[in-house]
Amino acid sequence: MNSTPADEHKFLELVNENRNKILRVCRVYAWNSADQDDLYQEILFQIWRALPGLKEEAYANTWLYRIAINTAISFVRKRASRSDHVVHFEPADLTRAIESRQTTEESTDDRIADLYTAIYNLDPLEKALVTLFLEDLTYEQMAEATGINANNVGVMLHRAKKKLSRLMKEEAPK
Amino acid sequence: MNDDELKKLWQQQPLRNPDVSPAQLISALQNKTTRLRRDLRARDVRELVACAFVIIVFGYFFFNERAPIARLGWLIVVGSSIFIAWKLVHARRTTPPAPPGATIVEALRAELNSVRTQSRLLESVLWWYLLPPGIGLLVATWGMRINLHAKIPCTLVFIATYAFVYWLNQWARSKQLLPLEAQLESLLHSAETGEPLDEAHVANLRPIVLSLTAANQVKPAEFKVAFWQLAIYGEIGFIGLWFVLMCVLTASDLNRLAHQTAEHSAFLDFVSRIFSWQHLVWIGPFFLAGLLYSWLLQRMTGQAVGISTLGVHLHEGQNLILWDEIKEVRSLRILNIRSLWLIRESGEKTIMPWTSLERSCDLKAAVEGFAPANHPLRKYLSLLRRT
Repeated sequence: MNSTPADEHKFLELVNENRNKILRVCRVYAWNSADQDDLYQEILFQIWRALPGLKEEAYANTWLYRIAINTAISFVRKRASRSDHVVHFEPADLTRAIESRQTTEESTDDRIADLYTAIYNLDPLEKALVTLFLEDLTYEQMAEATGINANNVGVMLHRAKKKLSRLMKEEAPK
Repeated sequence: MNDDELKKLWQQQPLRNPDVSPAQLISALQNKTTRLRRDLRARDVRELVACAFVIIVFGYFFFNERAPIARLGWLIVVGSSIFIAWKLVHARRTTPPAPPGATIVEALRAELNSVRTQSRLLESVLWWYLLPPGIGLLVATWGMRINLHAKIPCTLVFIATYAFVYWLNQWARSKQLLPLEAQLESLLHSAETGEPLDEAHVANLRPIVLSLTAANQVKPAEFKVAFWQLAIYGEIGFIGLWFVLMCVLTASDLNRLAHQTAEHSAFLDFVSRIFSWQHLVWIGPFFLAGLLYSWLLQRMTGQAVGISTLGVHLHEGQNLILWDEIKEVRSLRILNIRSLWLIRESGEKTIMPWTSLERSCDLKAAVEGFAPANHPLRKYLSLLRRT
């Protein structure tokens, strides 16, 4: 894409308005902060590439989720296949990493932690639908973002929510 | 917690903001776009160069060959190489990835299409990849005016190599592509009908459940296969390639000169010509090419094994075997290299490079630090070199 200042402005505006949505999608699909950063960059790159295809601003919301979730699903499948993901531990870092697993801090919000842990356990489609549901999209918007028929969205989301609720109960402190 | 409470909790969660200025962001994206274009161009150039190399080498044989049947053989090799290159490019172009704005279903369909095409290519590899140049090589070998003692070993080497390549392709298809195809089919079926996913495929798709507090500890300590381990076999391969090439060149020269000497002296003459100084001088470049190939292979394979609190990460991180899933570990020795079979309760076996990995001390420390006490993998730490 040969960008013009207008394209750049449009892109930055879109990203600034939707940063939190993108970050939440990243947190659903990437396990740790390094992967979340990588996925965030990848989603921005895909938005950048696809921006000329966004004809109607009114659909920007579902369009953006579509790109974010698609990129995330693909990222999860391929995330480790690039050489720039190699982490070279120095012996001291390695020792620190090993020791630190004994002393991990408690999450500031256990309920959010339980919710993410439960979402991690869903399959990719359920995960996408639950994310869109939590983002407050309607069934029609979810259907548009995922390409799944609106009736099926209802059925699948109902099943995914039941599963999520069961998993959250399992995760909650006894 | 009801739906509204869940949504509120979700939307009000604290998020870490990436620390990038707009100018840095635009510049990074422009660079990435340029890199992507350059990579695609480089891939096309690589394919053209590989095709040109084959045409030049076998074209040389064709023009220097006197025996008409052997010439026909070299012509078949050149023709089939062009056909193979076309087939690969055609397969890639007919299965493009979904555009960035595609829906999940469209993206899944595009990916399934691509995986199916690759799977079919591997399934029929005998007919389009192995047989056409194989027939050409055999026709050329048997058409050359060399004695039977040279023809028979050449034929056996070709057949053995081709059988191995065929087996390797079918193994890759059954281990990698068919499970992926089944997963994608199951996902797509679920998306199109609303039915739940097939449980057999869900297990492989479901990510490992982690507590968020542990998530930042999951990045594994990663290890590449040591360069010298790759170089040993890379060098054997490249020097072998030199030898085969020199055999073919010598046979072609002898054929051109149409020697009429007795069989015994013809054989000695053949051997002395293979090891003539004009041929030996090429060992150096082939040796360097072997080193370059090993270096590239090491760069391309990236991390072979990762060790983390969760377990062992294999296939560049795409296959994670949890510590608890590993019920038994067995050693496998091939020449000087020891690999390990990680065996799950179901009997499923996965091979893991072991003594060939670099940084043995760090590997040892990672396993000692991350693997549970009394884990069967610990028994094999003693095999690692002290480096």
